[in-house]
Amino acid sequence: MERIIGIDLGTTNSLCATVFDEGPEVIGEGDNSVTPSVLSRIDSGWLVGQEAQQRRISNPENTVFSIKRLMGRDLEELGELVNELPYQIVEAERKLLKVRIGESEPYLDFTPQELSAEILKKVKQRAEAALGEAVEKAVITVPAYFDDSQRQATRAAATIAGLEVARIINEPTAAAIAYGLDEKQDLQKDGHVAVYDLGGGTFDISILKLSGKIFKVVATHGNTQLGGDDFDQSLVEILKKRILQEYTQAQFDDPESKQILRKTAESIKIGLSLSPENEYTLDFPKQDISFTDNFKVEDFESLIFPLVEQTLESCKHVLQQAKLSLDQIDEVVLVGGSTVVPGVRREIETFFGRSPHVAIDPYKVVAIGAGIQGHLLAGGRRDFLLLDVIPLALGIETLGGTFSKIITGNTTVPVEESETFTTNVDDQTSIDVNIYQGERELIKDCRALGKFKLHGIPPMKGGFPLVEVMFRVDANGILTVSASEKRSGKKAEIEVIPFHGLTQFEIERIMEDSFEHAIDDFNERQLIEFRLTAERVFQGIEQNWNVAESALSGTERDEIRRQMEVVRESMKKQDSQALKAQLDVLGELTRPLADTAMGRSILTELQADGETS
Amino acid sequence: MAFDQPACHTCESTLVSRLFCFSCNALQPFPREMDFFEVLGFPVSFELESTDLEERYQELSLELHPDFYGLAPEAEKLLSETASAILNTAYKTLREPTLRASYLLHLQATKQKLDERSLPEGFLAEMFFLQEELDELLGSGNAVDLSAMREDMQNRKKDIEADYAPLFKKHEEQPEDSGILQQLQTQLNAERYLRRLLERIPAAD
Repeated sequence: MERIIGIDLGTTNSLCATVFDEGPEVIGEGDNSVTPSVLSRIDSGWLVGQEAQQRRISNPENTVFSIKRLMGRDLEELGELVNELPYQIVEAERKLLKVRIGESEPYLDFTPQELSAEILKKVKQRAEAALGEAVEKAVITVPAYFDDSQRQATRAAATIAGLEVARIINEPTAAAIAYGLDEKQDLQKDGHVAVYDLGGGTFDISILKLSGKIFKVVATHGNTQLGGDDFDQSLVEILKKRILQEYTQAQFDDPESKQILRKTAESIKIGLSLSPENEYTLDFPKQDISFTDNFKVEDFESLIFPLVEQTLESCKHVLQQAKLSLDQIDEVVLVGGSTVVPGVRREIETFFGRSPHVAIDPYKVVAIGAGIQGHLLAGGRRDFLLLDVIPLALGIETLGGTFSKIITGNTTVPVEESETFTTNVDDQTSIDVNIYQGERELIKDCRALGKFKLHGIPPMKGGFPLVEVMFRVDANGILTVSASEKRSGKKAEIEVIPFHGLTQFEIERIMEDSFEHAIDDFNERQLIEFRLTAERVFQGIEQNWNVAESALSGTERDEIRRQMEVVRESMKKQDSQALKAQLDVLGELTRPLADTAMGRSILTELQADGETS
Repeated sequence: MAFDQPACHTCESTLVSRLFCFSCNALQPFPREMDFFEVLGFPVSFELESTDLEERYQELSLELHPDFYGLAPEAEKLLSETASAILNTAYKTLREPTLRASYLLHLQATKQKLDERSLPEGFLAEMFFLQEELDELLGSGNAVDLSAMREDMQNRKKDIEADYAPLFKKHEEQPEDSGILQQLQTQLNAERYLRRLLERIPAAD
């Protein structure tokens, strides 16, 4: 049977899963299963994942993260975010966003689709290494509240990465599948389930009705610009204020300072999930600032309270849409890294009046659900069916700037609806139609998805032609439009111009370009990756040397020291494969360290490296 | 009329739904002109048990959905997409009493030209009055009065919906009485005004 893997392409982390003989599980072990959604530019291409993560502070202008928040959007919609991010963002034709790399001309500009494609390529490579087979097809998850442009952008990214998208599914729905089909979970198999999904950059709430084999999404609501990143950003603002009280001259606008603040905020947030207080130190060597203070969990919780409150507003809204009251919700499932924050969890519990399901790792559950869906699509099982919805109404602009809905929000997909258009003047042979998505009455409050032109209408008296336009939303939640003139039976030509997306032609051009460069880049990229791996491994060995003292004999320790020197020499040369071979030897030598819990992280690191080659 | 009963294009069994044959599990090349009752395999009538409808929809979804045709030839994949789309629309239409009534009226009023904008006497004036009253309530933010108004409108809407079934039954018994369908049209129009009004009242917490 062909394999279709599931990929959770996240704001902060990406991971993939598949169904093994023993059941569904993420691909890769420990840290090695997670690819940070970060990429960093080097002369010849991109470093992706862990290697790029290390460069967030040392090379902030060239290190790109949170790219998911840029997918299918424009500068105006991003608002403040543009200033918060340390890398440059510019707007190109048709409001298309591009990330700009370089301090002077010639700049290198990249679309979010291309950048996401690099992350997907990395995930694909790692999956192939771990599975020992080629991976060509995937189910990719998106926030339920992603609109058509954002879904199209995600699909384009996969195409550029050389992945065939078997299906795009919604993250909360994927999580519901993972829980609903896991016999170990005591989830009611018939009833209403609320899935609360708060990730790094997006929030979704979905209500599903489980009955028999069917998982039907009843309603969904959310915010594609709200997540753990915003918790970090609120923390950053407080940190700035605190530092300014002591160092009135402090400057935070340079990319390096932004990164230091962000990284510290992240670690405070994580620390406060484990203990009620977190001490932190902020060092800005260039400004000669070293600031130490501590953060209390109460302060953090009151800081994020307004953001959590926003998510609960969405929960109220979705219940109304589903025509359900709180006591009709039988189960609550938590998804996404930000639901680990104790304050968030408490608020949800209070709101729904029941303790939520958290047994499946909230970081993994979406990928696992996508992997199960991939297994179904590959023909591996047919014991369940997912019926999902489009989150927001689709329609067109009509007179006076009003939005005329053709397909309403929360409609089960696939769906098709037709609408008849006519001409205004005699012998008119083309009509322009603007397509929008949203839930408001006026087009100015909705998102412009694009416009299409109907060509080839036979010349007739004005108002006489009947052009039937068919709007189809497929099971991925993606819109396609086709048209025909009813009186002549002629198929009208249709040209769709996306407002925030790439055209087919642009996607193909990017793919050709990346193929040409791929071969030259390969050795150099590997070289840099292996060097960074080596440094990380050295660090791991040094940190755990006390374990080695007790766990290994003197000869074994000498051998490790000697091999570290050999690796160091190899790092100075240009042969990536030779460096790899020496790293493998080091891996063999440090293997006994894995027997002790302390040593496990070093070994994982070395094996990670072995698998990606 | 036995010849009206559609048969499967491969095994010739009588079809429940025009979209799929449950005897030989084959997708059917369905006609473009087909009513939603045929899609779900129910007689053309307003009377429809919601549990029966739900069950049939689930059975058909489990056969037609494109997720089960991932490895099928392109033509079959396409057929399953279209069939699922039609199934979803048919289900959505027949599930809601007002949508079902409006759809059925449209099917049955082929021979008769209906006045599509008719309203009960005095209804329009009353609606204008209610809209103004709502504007005032929204301006003052009086939650108690808003809630009372919402309840009042919801009850009126329910009363209208309760009329559909007896009217359609009357039409079945007296198909030549053209006044019955017009009466249905009038009720449906009134329902739409009430629905719009209700949409403007913010939901209670």
